[in-house]
Amino acid sequence: MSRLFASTFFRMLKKFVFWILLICMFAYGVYSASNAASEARAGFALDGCVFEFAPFMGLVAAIFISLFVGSEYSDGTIRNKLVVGHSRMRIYLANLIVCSIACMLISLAYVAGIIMVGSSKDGELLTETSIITMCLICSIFVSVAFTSIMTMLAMLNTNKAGNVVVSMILALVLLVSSSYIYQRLGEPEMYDNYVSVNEVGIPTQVEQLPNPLYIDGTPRTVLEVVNDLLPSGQAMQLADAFDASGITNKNIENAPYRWMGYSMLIIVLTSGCGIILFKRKEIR
Amino acid sequence: MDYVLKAEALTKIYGHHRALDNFSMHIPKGAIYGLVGKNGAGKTTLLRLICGLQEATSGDYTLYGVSSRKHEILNARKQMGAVIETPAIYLDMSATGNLKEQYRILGIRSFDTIPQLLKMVGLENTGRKKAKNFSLGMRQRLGIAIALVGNPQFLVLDEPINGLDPQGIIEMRQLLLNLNQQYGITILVSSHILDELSRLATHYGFIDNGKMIKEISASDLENSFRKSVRIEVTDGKALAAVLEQAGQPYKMLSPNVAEVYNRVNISRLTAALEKHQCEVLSIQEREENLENYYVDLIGGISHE
Repeated sequence: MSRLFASTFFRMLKKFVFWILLICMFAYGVYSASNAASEARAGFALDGCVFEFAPFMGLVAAIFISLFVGSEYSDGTIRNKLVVGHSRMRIYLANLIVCSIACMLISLAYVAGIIMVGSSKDGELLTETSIITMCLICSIFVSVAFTSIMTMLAMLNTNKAGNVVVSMILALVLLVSSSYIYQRLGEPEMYDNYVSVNEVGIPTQVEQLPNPLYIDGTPRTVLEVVNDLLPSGQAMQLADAFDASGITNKNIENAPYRWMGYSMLIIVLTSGCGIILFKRKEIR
Repeated sequence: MDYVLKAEALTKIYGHHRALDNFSMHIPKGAIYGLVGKNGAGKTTLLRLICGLQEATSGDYTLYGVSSRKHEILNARKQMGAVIETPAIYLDMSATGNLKEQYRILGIRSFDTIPQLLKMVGLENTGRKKAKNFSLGMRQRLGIAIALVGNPQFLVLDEPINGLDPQGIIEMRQLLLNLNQQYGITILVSSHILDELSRLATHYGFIDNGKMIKEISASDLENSFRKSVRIEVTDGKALAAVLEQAGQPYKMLSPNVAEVYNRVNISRLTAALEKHQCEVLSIQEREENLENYYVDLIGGISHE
């Protein structure tokens, strides 16, 4: 296993797409923090931009893993590992671990960009460090969950080009659907209906009406679980939980433990299925 | 006899197609085993099974005495290297980079032997050139170099001279002979180029429609080749009469040309023909080769 890990890890370090994504994420971190700094006069809060990278990790994982693992099939080099007696489970796990490390490093490159600008321009965190740290660990789990899904796809699909397309479509579908679910769950239960206004347009009589877009009961519970379960849903919530004034969603303080559990579930399920199917896969 | 690989009743079914059907095979230690068969005969399927890329539908094979059904087969595979169909190389890496990858996969920490390996396959001057810019022949050589990492005792090569130029073919032949004779590596090689295979192989296996038709050693094969004499004369009827009288087995290839499947005393034959006023125009000694043998064997089977 350590031999496969070493070989895969060194190959990752030589992969152009890894360094491109790493630099892009670092640049995005620098841009986000600089943007936040330019809007404040003296000293600024970094909280709002720390987790902006999370929703993009699905796409990042899709691009990197489909190209990195896909080349094992397109170049046929997976055969070199099987021929010399490496088990399929070890080959799968070596790829999963190295891709997870790659995606973690890419995530941390964004955070490094934030820290670099933050420390040079007197940026500060308004939220408690313990909460930020937990959310950061949670975002790393989100990256690994995305990695696990994309690794499963890449290990089971021998067509590299096809897998790039499939992975990116899946990442986009996850992002859009989670964004929609998060938006619907954020709808208020009641909304203000202005019954009368005075001559200058100020409402004088306001009544509360039930919002038809509000989802209630079992559907709400289901959507909340789905939103927490999907890594893209967790990423959306993380990105939206903080702004320039610090934490905006107090409920998030307890959420990371639940999310990490859900992420672990996704990782175990997708990797388990991936390994079982990969063991049965006929390689040409 | 020690066998590196033995296959018994190996069957592989893709959908409704039996790629291998009750296939049996025996590769002695130290042999260069030539696997001969037409396209779609099941050669590559067999090599994929042996290399662990696919599972057999039924049947079993043993590698160094270890059954393919046992987990220990993974350890047995550590003694083998293979190039199946296209060479398995990272196109965005140099020859050295590719070899380093394989060294890491096998857990070999020192890269000291890489220059030696590159020289062995004639790629010592490729420098930092990436494999994607290599010719087909260079890729083939690199694939073989990768298969040789870790000093395997059993080498599986699928059409190794595909894409090689004439000089490359000669070098590849010398390399394989050298590996076999100097290092004692057992080689299983499939090839369509029978003439080339006949210069290498010590044993042959003839495969058709997923079945092993015949296994034979090169020496036995040579002994079984029929020798003949082709005689061209001015009067074919006279020649036929003389051969009949002498009790020689023969076949008329054209009105004035006959092939005699026996030793012929030329002086007596010419003297006998002179009595019929028949002149001998040419005499050629001929020997059957692998190609004739293959055509007779597979052609005979397919027309049964």
